Amino acid sequence: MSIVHSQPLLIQSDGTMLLSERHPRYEEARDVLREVAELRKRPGEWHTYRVTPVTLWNAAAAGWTADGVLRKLRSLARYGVPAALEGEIRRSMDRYGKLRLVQEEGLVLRSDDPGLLREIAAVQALRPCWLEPPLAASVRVRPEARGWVKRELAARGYPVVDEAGYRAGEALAVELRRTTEAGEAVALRDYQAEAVEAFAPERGDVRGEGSGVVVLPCGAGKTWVGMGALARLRCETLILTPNATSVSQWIRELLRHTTLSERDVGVYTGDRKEVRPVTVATYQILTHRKSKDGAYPHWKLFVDRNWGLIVYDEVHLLPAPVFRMTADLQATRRLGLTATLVREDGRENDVFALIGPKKYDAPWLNLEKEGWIAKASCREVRVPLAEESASLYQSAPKRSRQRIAGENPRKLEAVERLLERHRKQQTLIIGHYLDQLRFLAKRLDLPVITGTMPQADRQRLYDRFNRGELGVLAVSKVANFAVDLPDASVAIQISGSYGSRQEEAQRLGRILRPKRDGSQAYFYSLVSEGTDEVEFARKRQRFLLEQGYPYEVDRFEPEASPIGGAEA
Amino acid sequence: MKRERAGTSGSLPEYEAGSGPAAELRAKPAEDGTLEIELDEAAACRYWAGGASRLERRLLRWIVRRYAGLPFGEDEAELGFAADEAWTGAEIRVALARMRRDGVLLAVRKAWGDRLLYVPAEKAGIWQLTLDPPGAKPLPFEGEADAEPLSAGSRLPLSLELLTVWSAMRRHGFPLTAKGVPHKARADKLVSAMRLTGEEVESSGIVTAREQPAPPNVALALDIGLCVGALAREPGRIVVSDRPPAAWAGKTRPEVDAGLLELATLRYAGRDAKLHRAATALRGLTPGLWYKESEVRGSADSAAEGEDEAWERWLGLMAACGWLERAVVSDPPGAGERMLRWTIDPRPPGLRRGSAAAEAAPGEGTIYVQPDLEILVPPEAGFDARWILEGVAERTAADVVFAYRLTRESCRRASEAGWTFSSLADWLAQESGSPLPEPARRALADWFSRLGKASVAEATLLRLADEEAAQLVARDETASGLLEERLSERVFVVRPGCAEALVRRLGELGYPAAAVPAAGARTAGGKPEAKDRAEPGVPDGGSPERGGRPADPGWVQRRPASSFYEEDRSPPKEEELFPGLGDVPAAWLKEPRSYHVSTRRELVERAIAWRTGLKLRRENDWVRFVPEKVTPTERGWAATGWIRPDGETGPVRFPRQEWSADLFAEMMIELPAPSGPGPDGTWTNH
Repeated sequence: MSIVHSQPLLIQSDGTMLLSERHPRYEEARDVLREVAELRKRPGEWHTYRVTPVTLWNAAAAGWTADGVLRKLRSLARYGVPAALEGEIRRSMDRYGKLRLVQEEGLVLRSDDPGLLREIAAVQALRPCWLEPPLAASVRVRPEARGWVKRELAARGYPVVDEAGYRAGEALAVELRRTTEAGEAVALRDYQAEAVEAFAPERGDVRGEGSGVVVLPCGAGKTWVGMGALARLRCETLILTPNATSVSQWIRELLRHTTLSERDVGVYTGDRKEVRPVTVATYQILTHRKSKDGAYPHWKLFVDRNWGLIVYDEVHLLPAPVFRMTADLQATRRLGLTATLVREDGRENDVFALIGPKKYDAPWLNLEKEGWIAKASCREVRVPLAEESASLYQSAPKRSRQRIAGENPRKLEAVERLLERHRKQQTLIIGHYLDQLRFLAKRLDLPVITGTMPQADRQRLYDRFNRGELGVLAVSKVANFAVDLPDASVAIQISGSYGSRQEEAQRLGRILRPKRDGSQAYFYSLVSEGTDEVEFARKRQRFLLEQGYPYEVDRFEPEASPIGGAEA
Repeated sequence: MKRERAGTSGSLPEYEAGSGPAAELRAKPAEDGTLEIELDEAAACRYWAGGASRLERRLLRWIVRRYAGLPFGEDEAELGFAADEAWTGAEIRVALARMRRDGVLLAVRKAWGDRLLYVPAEKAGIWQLTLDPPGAKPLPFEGEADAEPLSAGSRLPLSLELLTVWSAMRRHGFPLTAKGVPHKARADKLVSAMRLTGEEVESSGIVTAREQPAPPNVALALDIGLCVGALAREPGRIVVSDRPPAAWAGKTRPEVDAGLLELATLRYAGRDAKLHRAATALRGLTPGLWYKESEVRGSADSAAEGEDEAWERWLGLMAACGWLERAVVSDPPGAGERMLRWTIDPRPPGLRRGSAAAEAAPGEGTIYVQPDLEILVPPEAGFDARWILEGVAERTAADVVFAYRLTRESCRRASEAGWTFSSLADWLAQESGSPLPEPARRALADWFSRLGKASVAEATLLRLADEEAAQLVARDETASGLLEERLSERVFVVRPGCAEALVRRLGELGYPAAAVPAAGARTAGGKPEAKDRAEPGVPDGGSPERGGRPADPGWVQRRPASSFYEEDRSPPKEEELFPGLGDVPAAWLKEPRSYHVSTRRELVERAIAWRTGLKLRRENDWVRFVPEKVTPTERGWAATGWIRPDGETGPVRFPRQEWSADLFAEMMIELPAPSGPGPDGTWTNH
């Protein structure tokens, strides 16, 4: 090995870290970075991580010191640690633990650093939060300002360690079943049990523990961690999810795997408003209001019962108003579940301050190696336009071209051939254009799910698919999120929205559940050759490429030759 | 190891080649008959210093400190050094002559005959580090823990900062006004993209807004670019070369930065001895280790007036250039103490031997192409590759590692520059040392598939009035060789640059044609504009030479002062050192004798004129008396001077004494020993 390859890590001044997976010390470095940084992408040999104040606070919360981090980084860095970054790491980590919220006959913000409290006391925006003028080492905080203080200080670069404790919530007799009604064993996988233990240690200090985020890849069973936490804390719980389908799935899982009965579990969505000891609601209903400036009528859900735990599913999608509501709920334990801490809106600070620090992060590759998530093969299939479509495409204005390319009629033929190839596998056909989906469904005699279909009808089709009664299901973008179709192992994307990176990942996520027979999953993206769709597809695929899913490309030959690649 | 040939080198006068101690060590005949001297500069300097007298070592140290590589007058040096240390003027002059003989000092002559001496600028640093080695010790690791970085934000090493600036100039152009001033909007855009700020350059004093018309940071980029050949002047604009500067070809980033530091030290610090001294003292430190600033300055004995300010200016510049990091200790003990460390190897070329520039093993490649079209460029990547990437990819990060992204637009630019899919894919595979990842290869293939297939060009056409003439032309071998393509029966495209030849040939064929205006000729107004008048301070760049010497190629004038004068290779003669030596009775110099009181006075006055000492008998002892002046007394005259102790002396001042004429019993004039001219009249050791 040459001099330049002596260490695996390239460290940039802005906190970006590039790690070579081919290096003998890769795993050692990866384990360090998992603790102190966040993975941004891993498209090839070099994986990109990023150190931010929040990742450093998370590391500090997990027991790391600045010296420890720097010593480790220096030992792994090929070109050293830039001084500016060293300073940033020290500053961020040294701040962690300097401010503590404690209960001392009321809520008190404490610091051993009088200069720091003086600095904070001067912040105008925080003045309404104080019950009285700050003293040298402490300041009494209004109970209702607990979340606000943490959020404002985090935004200013000062994390607050919240040791003020949590309300126990109304007790609820609940535990995980030993077996399902069908006789299947119910047990948390090792990493799920570790995540529950990290979030709510069995013998933990209730004051210091109890809120935070668990990061698990798509398909790794985040719902199980939520159920495990519920069973550990045994208290009334509010579960918030991104959509109604996910609500149904949570309820189904809760009823199947815990001792809760139907009367214990409520649905709180646009259609039904049940508030029960365990209630599952959507973010959408909480943020619904009649007018732009009106009040949020469903906020009362937060205080309708004495919740002991709030679970935020897909916390990276948590809408801003829910953050505001969460700020008022700091005395309640909060569990965030997500596949990534990176938010498109950059509000990682808010997640840290208002939900809590990262409590657990499973190494993605290990889960795949151990078979807890399926391996996936991604393939782009280029479908040429027929002559008349090509002519239409060339003469169309630019804004219409995407649709012409997306609805390329030859894609039907390509879908047929792929269905033939995977005829024994549960397959989803996913499309952006409803007309195209309906046309295809009609021609192939397939059921189709779109946003206009009532929730109950959708669920019936999902259930039939899951029972194996339906081998192929056509779905619109309603199935992008949180739809649990564990046996789906093939997805054929016939059209997508312009360059949405998240969408591609979400669609792939539908087929990542491990298969009973251990087989791998196949994701096909049909793209009209010679059109702008190729570039849109490239943009969409970039996110997956960055997550380590390289695409292969095939060309669909309309007449004879089969599509190359994986055998079903 | 650097090798120079005495026959062609301007730095070592021929007459010295065989006589100086350093040269004695290294000289050997080369195959072509010239004398080839292996100049391991540091070793040669150490060897010379080892054989030099205390006076010579101290005098050279004093000169380097006072003047660095700037020229100085012999008298000025003699008087200045004599004021600081107790040596006679004659001893100093002889020492200076020896240094000229040894090539340690070179000489130039002003138009009116005054001679100036100077230490060759490229060696001044090595002399300083040889005679004044740094004494500061690096801090142990624990010393780093409580340090707060002082630098504002992250900095790029200057080489990369320049690469990004020049790249922006290459992409967007850099026009100059008729007066040679950069267009403000374009210059402002460069300023906003630079991390090295105009204030930092201005406050270092190396390039200022007062002396030239561009913002100082842009001016620095222009100046270095023009000096190293990355940029070139053209009428109305500065253009960027398609290739990296020849001196940078095949070099890694650390090597280029080391070269730039050398350039900065010579070109900018070299104009100010205090700045040069600070710059050089810093270059004696080990890269990558922290030092206390106070120890570095202390070890460089920097208490002289103005040196603190010079230190601060140079340290600020080095930090701004991304070569040096500064920090302050935040916790006691030592709170407030400033520290510094080099991030590049600062040692002068002559002292940098076998430095382990990180190199990739054969076949490993120095860049990494990722499947998502990102290209990572670590520090050890060569500048050639960086230069190319700036043209064919979009830069997305400029830090320790540079990152680029291949895009459809960057491929379009690459295509315009002559790249094809296969040439670019092959180059990327070669530079990365591994096959191009399939997604990247596919994207390039997609993007290039439609590039280069259509082009719009201006062409010169040959139109013929009838088909008969067209056939004649087509059949004529000479004429058809000047044609590119036949567009129709009677219209041809003329090969670029062949129009005039074609007109001639058509005339020979009996079809005289109207001449074609030369390409690039101005049509409006007809005549080319008079040469642009340059702004004060802006070199016109049109003339490669000035006064018979090469013009400074840079944006600002930084020719070494010595280059303004005529080189003086004449060997130092004894008569120059001691004017009137031939008129003095030999006995005055040979042995002590008793003289008449009036003759005694003549000897004293001669010694004063030569600023040398007298050997005198006082009672039973011999003393060395250095007279400085003669004053009349009631009993005749008296001489005031000081007693020079035997052997070598130094930075002390001896009390002045007045000796009456009767005390000069036996006496002689003492010239510095060993002394006397050689057979050829030059001053050598005896």
